[in-house]
Amino acid sequence: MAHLQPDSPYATERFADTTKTIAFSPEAKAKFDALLERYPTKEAALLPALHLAQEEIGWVSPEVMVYLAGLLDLEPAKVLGVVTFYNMYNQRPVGRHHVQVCTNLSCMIRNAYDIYDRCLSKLGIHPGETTKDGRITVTEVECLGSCGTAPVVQINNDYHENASVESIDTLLDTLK
Amino acid sequence: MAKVTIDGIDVEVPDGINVVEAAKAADVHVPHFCYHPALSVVGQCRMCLVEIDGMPKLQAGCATSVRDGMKISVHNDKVDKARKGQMEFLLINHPLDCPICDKAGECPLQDYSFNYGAVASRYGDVKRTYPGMDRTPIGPHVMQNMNRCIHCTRCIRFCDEITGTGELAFIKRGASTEVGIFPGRPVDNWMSACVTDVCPTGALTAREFRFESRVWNLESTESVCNGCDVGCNIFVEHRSGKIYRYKPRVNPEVNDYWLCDYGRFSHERYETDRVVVPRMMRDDYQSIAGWSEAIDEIASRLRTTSGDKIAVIASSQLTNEDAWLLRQLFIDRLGSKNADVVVDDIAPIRMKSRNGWLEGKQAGPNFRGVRAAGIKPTGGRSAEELMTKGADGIDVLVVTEAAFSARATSAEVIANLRKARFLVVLAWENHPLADAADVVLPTTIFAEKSGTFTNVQGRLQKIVAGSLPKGEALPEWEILRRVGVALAPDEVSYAFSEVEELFDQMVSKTPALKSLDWSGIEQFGVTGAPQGS
Amino acid sequence: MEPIRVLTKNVGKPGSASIDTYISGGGYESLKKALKSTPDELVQLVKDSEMRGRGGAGFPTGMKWSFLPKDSPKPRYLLCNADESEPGTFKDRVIIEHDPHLLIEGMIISAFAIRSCPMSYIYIRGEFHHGAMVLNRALDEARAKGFLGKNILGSGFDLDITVHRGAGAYICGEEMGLIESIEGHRGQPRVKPPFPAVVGVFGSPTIVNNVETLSCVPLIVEHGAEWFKSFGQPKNTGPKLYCVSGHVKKPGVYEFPMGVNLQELIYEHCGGITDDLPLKAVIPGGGSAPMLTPAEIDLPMNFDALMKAGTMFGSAGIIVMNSSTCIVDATWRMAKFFAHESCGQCTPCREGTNWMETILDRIERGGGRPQDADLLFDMTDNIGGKSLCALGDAACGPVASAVKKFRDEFIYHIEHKGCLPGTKRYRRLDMPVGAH
Repeated sequence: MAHLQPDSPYATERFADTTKTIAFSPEAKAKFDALLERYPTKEAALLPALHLAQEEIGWVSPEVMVYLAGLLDLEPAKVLGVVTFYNMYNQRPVGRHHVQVCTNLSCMIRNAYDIYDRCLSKLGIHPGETTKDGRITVTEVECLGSCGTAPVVQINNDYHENASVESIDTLLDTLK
Repeated sequence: MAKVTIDGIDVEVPDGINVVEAAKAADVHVPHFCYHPALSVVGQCRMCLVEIDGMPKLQAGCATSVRDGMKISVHNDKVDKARKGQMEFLLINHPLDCPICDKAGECPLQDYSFNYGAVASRYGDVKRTYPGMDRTPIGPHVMQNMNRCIHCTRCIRFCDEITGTGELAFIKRGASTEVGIFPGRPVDNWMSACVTDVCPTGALTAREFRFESRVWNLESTESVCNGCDVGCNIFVEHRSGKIYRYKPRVNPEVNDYWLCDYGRFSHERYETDRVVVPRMMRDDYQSIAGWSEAIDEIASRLRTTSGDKIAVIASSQLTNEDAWLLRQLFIDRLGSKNADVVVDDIAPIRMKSRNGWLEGKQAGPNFRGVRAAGIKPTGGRSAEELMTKGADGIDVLVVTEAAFSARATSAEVIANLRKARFLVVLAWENHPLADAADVVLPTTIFAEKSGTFTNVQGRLQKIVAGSLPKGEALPEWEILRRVGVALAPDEVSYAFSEVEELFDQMVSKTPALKSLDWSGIEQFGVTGAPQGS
Repeated sequence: MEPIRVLTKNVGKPGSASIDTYISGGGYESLKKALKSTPDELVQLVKDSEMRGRGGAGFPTGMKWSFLPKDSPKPRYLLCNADESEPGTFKDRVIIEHDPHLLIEGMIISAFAIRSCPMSYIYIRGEFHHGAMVLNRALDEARAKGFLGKNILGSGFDLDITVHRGAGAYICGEEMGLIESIEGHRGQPRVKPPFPAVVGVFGSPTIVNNVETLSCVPLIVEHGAEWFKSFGQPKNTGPKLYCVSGHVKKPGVYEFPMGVNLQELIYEHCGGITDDLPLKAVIPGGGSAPMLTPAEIDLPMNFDALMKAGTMFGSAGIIVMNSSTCIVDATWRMAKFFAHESCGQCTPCREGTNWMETILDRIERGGGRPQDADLLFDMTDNIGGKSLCALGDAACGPVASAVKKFRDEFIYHIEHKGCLPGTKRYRRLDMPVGAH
């Protein structure tokens, strides 16, 4: 074969060690098994299974993708495709508190960007980054469906509505 | 059937086919990227937008089935404006690097940009790039340049729907969407290089063909792959006697649009030291000989022995015409009882025709045809016996191809065959068996000769000589003809010069092929050819 | 026009999400009534009510139901679209969190009406974690009372409902995207035809209805089609939830009969414009809807009137912008949303939405070029009507209308490399680009 070029570092640069194995805890496995009962195809359980895995370890690692691909008889590439399609699956570890600031129009014109700026500058991080102590990650998100109580900030699963720079300032201090 | 009007042309087409296919009946081409006749319809590229009377919006031709009475405009101002719009979208982030792209010359994106591309770009911003994905090997045969990709997903659908291996997927979304593999899981299936065929841009190219040649500098000859007994239809693409690549040639009954990697790259076997002149053993040393000298020597040896002492080992690479003449000469005329054909087994290779899967299990293209021509031992010794027990007592042994089997390189087999008093080996490459022969005759490779093969379905398919024979090489049938002339100078059946004439002789004496003529072998081959086993 | 409390009658009651509160207010009586009639009668009833889907497209619900093939041997599915992600829309969340049993009862009746297979799904957007919890709790209550499960109330009808959480993708609110997402795929809408009523989720005939649509069904069963039609205008019937956000003094969800006057809604019911500034623009039907200028808002909020006005009713998500808003900034923010949410499969949407965002961002940053306004407008023609699903059209709504109606401001912005005096940009341009 002519012109074979050395394999690109692409794979190793972007992804962690996929030779590591990982598995659900017994409780999560039981939830996963119950999930399969709810759908006529195994594949349909992928989204909830990814949620389940993320609840367990905080993010969806490449090992998780390989593990779930095995459980659901999928090609890992398809799982990767799904994980990267949806915003909520964290493709890298996030802080204990994931601060998600909605900056869509209704929030923006109620000064959501000021809140976003305040979060970043107070914590000294860039968008999507986590504080060094692993406490807080800040990301900008699209409409959270809470425009009537804009601006809204979602921290992990909870909405903080009618937020202001001051209220977020205080709130950030209480996050441990 | 549905009567439809396409750009003012009335045509009748089968019900339910899509507009892209229906337009072919009117000889109108609907530009498209994502649509592929053998893959599912996704309607993503929006190039095939057409206007249909009575529908307010333009419709995707690939996803719209024709109905009786439909009036379709493939070209009008509205459609062309839309198509130019899509072309602009596809090109704003495309690197436009045709001068260094291997797809250039056979690239739909390039072709359509001549028809629908703007002369000047309205895009004044930074092009999107995929750092680290501009020359990424994503499999043993496939190189990816994501910057050139237009997101048509043909490659993804190929791996999902044809091979079922699913190595490729869309990753991320929106303008960042990329086609990718899961790291560490390369596109490594037995037909992986087909993704480079279906790719309508230079995003996926075959690693073996990159930077080898501009495609417009290649000659293309219709032929049949000789890698196995499926007989996939191919174009042999060559220049100055060097084969650069095989490309699948559509035959819905055999290989549809596909070609396996083993077959596709099997031409690499011809990049070797070819035998270019006849050689004869003189004083334990093979030296160059002339053709007539070599043929005369063989004829005189044949003349002085009897049929039970003449043996032939035929290769499954022989064409039906070669095999027919071989039988006529060695079995019918000389009465050889020891003629046999050999083929190696290979791990089954699956190939998807439009009607289902075919399986190739033999390493040669024409074992069945050679056997059906009558090349089998009649009370004498089989090739297996000659190879394992030795050719003692055989006066003349003719091997039609040195590489008739992988076992032909083994010292034991060579020693056994060498036990024949006079060993004639036809060869296209230097080979240890040829080195042991009394006479070595240079033969053409399949790309340098014409003839027919009979595949696993009993389908007679034509191969066509594309390049000139290397050196003094001759096709097997011509070598056999010359031997025949030397043995019987007045015999009229040897008085031909073209393989077509030989073919006519063959069909006239083969009831199953009766009334077939050379030019009548259709594009997709002729079924019902006799098959031996 | 006065606000009504029909769909929202339980909202605000203590423990409104519990089954006891719901039953004490007459809940699940419609289900009992419905199970005594035939599916065909129920489909006819919904047809007679002339209800149009509340998700955005406004397709008549009864007609949608009747598109299910009569002779298919495959199971039929009912999917509830609770992927409320349209900017400016937050009405379904009110029902989900405050009156989940209204939705569940509506789903059971609708599933019975369309002869659904024994499993239905609620596709709820992943961010509504609380909503999903409320729904799951409510489903458990309904199962315990025998409203879900085998042989519901002795009718022989079996049904269970699964809450399927999305994971952050606006496009999954498109019915084909939603179907793909439930199947465990990327939420890329499939090309139509076939339509979901023929080949939907898991290859089976499927009906996808919005939360509010399904929540109207028990009311129609309880009070009848004529009662439903007594709200609103011909072909635009029923009670309707309106979401008002942005620069109004009292943003929130308001319930009115279909066709409340937009001007009245903003100035009287929502208390007028923030800081008492003049109104500048209104997006009347969620982020996809073309903008209206102050001169255009004296119209009834219903499907037909807004279509006539060149915009759309959509999800009735009204975003109000006062005169301090830089229209280029606002348009950029909508373009950014659609570029971010484009699934990336079809050419015009993948490339076009991103290009529009790029141009608008450049104009905001003072890099506008004289031809940009025309280029944007022409581009909306190359995207609109050409994309695979409606997201491409949606992305063009705000851009095309803003460029057309506020052209002078765009030109000013391009020429002066800054906002029109008196308007402001809401983001800092030196902020690092968000990686989300």
